[in-house]
Amino acid sequence: MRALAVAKKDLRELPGYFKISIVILPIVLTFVVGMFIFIAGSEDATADMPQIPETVFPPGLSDIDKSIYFAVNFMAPPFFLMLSTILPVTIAADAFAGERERKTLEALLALPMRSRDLFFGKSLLPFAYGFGASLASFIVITVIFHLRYPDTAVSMPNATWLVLIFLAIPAFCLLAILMELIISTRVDRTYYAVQMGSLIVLPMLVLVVGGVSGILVVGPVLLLALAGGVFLLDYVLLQIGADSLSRGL
Amino acid sequence: MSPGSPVVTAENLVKRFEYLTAVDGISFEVSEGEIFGLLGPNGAGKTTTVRMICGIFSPDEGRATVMGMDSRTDPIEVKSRIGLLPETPSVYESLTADENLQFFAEMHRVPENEGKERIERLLANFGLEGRRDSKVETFSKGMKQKLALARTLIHEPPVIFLDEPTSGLDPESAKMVRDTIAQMSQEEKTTIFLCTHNLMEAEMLCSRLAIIRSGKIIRLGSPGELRSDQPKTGRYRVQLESIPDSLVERVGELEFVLDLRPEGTTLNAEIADPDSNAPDLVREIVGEGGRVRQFVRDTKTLEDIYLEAVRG
Repeated sequence: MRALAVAKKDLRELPGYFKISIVILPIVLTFVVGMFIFIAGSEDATADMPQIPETVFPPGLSDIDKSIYFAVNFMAPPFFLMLSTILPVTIAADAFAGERERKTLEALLALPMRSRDLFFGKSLLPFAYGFGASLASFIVITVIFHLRYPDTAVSMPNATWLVLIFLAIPAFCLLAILMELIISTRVDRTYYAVQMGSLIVLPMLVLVVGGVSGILVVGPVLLLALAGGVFLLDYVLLQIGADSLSRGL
Repeated sequence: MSPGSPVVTAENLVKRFEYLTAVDGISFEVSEGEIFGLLGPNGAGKTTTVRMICGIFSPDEGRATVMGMDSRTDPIEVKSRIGLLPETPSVYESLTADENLQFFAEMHRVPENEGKERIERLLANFGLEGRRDSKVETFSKGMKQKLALARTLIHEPPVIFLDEPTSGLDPESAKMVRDTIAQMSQEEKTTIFLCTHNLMEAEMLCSRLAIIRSGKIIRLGSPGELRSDQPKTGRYRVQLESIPDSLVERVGELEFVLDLRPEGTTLNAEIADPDSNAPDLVREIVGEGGRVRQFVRDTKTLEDIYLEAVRG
């Protein structure tokens, strides 16, 4: 599959220092989220918990469980969304701008591959990274949660978390990558693509992440609908990106 | 594609970029096994023409085909039949030579075992077998160019577009590349489209040439035809034992002599209709007491023709 070959080539091309940083950053973020969840069940954390309407919590939770519930369902999701969007965007920035900068884009565009497939191929590596890092982090945090709170009434993962990890995060991850790829087709240098990405893509994501952070409380159906909507938007962006690429060098 | 039909065609190709018309109504045909050269100064529209034919971008007007496939409507089919060597080597510097060739073989769906054999053969042909596992960033410019050429040939395309293929190569490597191009054309009937500034190379390799200026073809034909298109005048260098003043005066008065310049013991003359007037020129010189040691016709080089054409 040609798209896969493009992704494999892109992986080989990643500079060594960059490979190290994209491994370290998810570990740091996972550690931070893990710490939040780990200390959420302490008496100090329970006492410091912000005032939140009782209707937000499932009925019958103790104060400690409410603190754990708050950490798991309010504080952790934005970290996952950040993990699955910010770092993949830095990989995606290089996709076309980097090829243009290194003067390899013309040979790539002369390959027998539809623009849409090339665009898709270029999204595979950042997507695999973003989704893979989120999934690995989710597994680690779930293990920490169960080791720390074997008897809590709070459940993790619940249906909403599963929708978040397996549908919403891939949809948002792809959204951020496709937006950055479109920018990458229009500029000459990876540096410019990163700059423009941080000016356009990341602020939009911050808004989205802020809005989504409470959705886990609302439930899986709304999150499912949101993920579906974002996937549709991804499809439209894929078309726009392919058109933008086929307009030439 | 029916037998005998052209392998590459361009029919009134036009490409505009905002207010600039980069290619302005170009038409030509290239036959199987032919080496066709496209000459022109920087910015003349050579690269844009190649990109349209290769299906990298669509023309605003006109049509291009490769082996009967339309570059606009069947770009994938066109791209699977061509090899393109752009002006810059276009190789991935952080990959090894082997990884570069493997990537392009995979993209062209060359079967794995066959791909390995071709990689080995091409690296050996271009003298890179010892650097197979070295990262390309450690290569010289010439080695990168050779690797790029190997990459262009990895899927054995029937049509090849080469933009300055010997650029950056030492004379020995450049000759090897030229020999490879000639061999592919003669033995494998590969059709080759060559963009170059190297006029000697164009004259040596190309069976036909197009000279392009401001997006338009201003001369098209074989090197011989381009020469015969020139005005019917001839330049001669006549070396004499000495040049008496009366000789210069008398010869300069002849009707068919367009220009006469003595330099030491050499008389440089440009005459009209040289086939019929050259014997009269010699007769007049001898008649005026000139003792002719050498009588040489200066033929126009492709460079002369090219420079005249591009300067308008």
